Amino acid sequence: MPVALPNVRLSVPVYYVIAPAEASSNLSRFDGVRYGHRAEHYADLTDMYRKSRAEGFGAEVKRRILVGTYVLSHGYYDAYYLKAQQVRRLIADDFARAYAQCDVIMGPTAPSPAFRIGAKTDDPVQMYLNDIFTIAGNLTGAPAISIPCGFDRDGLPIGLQIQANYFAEAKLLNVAHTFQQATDWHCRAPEFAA
Amino acid sequence: MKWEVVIGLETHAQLSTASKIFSGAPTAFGAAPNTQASAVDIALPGVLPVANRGAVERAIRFGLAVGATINRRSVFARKNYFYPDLPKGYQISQYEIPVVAGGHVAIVSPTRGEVEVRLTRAHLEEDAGKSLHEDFHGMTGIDLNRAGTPLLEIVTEPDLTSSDEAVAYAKALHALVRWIGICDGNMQEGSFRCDANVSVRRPGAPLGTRCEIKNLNSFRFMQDAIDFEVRRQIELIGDGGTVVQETRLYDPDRRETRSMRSKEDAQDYRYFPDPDLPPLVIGEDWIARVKGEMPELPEAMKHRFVRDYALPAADAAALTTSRELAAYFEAAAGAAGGEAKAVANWMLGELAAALNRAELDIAHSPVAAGQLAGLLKRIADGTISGKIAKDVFDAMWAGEAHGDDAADAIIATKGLRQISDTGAIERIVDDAIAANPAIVAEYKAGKDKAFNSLVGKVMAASKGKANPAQVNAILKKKLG
Repeated sequence: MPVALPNVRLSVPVYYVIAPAEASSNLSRFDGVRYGHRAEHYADLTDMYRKSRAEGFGAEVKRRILVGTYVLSHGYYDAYYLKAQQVRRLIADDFARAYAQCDVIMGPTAPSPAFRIGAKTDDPVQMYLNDIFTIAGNLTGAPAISIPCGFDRDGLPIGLQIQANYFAEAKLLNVAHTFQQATDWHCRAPEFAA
Repeated sequence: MKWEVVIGLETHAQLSTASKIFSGAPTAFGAAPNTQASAVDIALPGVLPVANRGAVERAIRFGLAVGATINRRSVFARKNYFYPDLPKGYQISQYEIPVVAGGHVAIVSPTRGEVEVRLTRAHLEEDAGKSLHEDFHGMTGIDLNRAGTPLLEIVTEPDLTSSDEAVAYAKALHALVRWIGICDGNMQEGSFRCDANVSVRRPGAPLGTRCEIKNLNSFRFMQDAIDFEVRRQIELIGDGGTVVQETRLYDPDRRETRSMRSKEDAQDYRYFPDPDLPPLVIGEDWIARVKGEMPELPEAMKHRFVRDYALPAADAAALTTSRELAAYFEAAAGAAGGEAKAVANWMLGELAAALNRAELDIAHSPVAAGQLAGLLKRIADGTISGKIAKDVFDAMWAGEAHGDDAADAIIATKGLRQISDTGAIERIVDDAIAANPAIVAEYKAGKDKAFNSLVGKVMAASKGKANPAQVNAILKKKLG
């Protein structure tokens, strides 16, 4: 039975405002004073912070810190962070309505089969969009599980995501277990490229 | 040309909880560096804060004491900035929705009389650690013992119009937080510190640009700093300059304020609700319980003292500056029975002076309330004069007798009982008149001062024990 989740399409933009915002703040403690890498040479305190963090963090972490700092900045907070939190509520409401009609929501874990390591590193938006089906769970805080459900014609694995309402973890695990009793996808491994 | 001074104060009161606001580490002052910092206080990655119920309860107490709104739902927020003694890289505070909104504190202004100073808000937050620059050559030491100490930041509206009023407010607030038992008020240890926002304007003009003076940890510094800042701003404007919004530090050695950072370098703190803490929800039952446990507040007690003990307002105010003082007064006035004004006079005079000299507070007074009452009863019933009473007081202070009847014991042992026997006084008066013919002659020649001199001779001859009223009457009669 299909259910309508009209706001779920906004999950990726919402997530990529809220998660970087939190990350930018959470990662502040890696400033070279007590935690994280400290640069070897620096002129003063500000220089120590700048160099330590520039040297210590990788590209994706820096990207998220920059985005997160931006969306929390004075004059941008309402348009990005606050708006994202409001849409997050709309997404959670969609799921609450859906669970009044059904027990679990099933679908693919990702929009495409697995891509090769490093294949999309240069295109972070493409990489982020791959999270479109799973990210709603991060936003609502409701439980979800991903289990193997087959392979594509190139032999790459495909995941089945099962989502359930708050505190319905037992139901979720039972559904997954029942699926795995009827199938053997979880016993098969993809062939490794030579 | 007249100027109006506009001042608002922000006060950080350290809440008197045993443990920190988001961790179980102790808050005691003076421990060896970093021995009172838990995994949460040092911001170990992965740890989570849990709000301290005792800190919230103290905030509720404060809100009720100042007639404020207790927000049933308030929100902890992160204030993000980098500093070495801020281990998380953010301070947990409250921003858009504080726990306490509104309220007011009554003060007596030297120029405006009774004034209600309006409060904007009071919010809960954690203190930062301390940077230690001495003892570490070319380096800075970090002590995180203070990190996570619970603070209540209390913010006024710009309602204060002079440094006198600012100090009166700070003192009233200081007395209040101690009265309701939420803060020990120890200013040397930083438990109560103020920031002052100061601006000047022409009467009727819009608010001038303000400067914020940080970390005023004594009432005298506050007075000095504000006075300096007001002079500086008036002179600056008078010379054709303009005040720039900035943060200034007070230097007590040079008695001046100095620029610390201007608005242009003001940081963007990127406040946002702390995702690690749920909204702070306070139930009606909790508020009702705290309300039921509130002591009588100083304002109410002051009015009761005026009403029930017929004290002047100034005495009532002075006796309600601390709960200990007020309790001493009530105990002594009760035991002395009907001598409330005398109790007030002695407490604010002789006793206050003695405590001051000995650097003691009322709770540690060597003369207990019952003892003072015992002494005042003997003045009232004519056993001793007020002058002799001071000697008895000194003897009690020195511990020469104990218990509520200490005054009686000292009067008996030292033979200080007042001479009220008319015959005995007449004999002393006769002797004095006979021994001082020159003074008597002066008096008879119309010099009234000579009379006082004769009273002095009589009192001296009786070793101060003769009843002064009787001496006066008898002397007058005998001199005709």
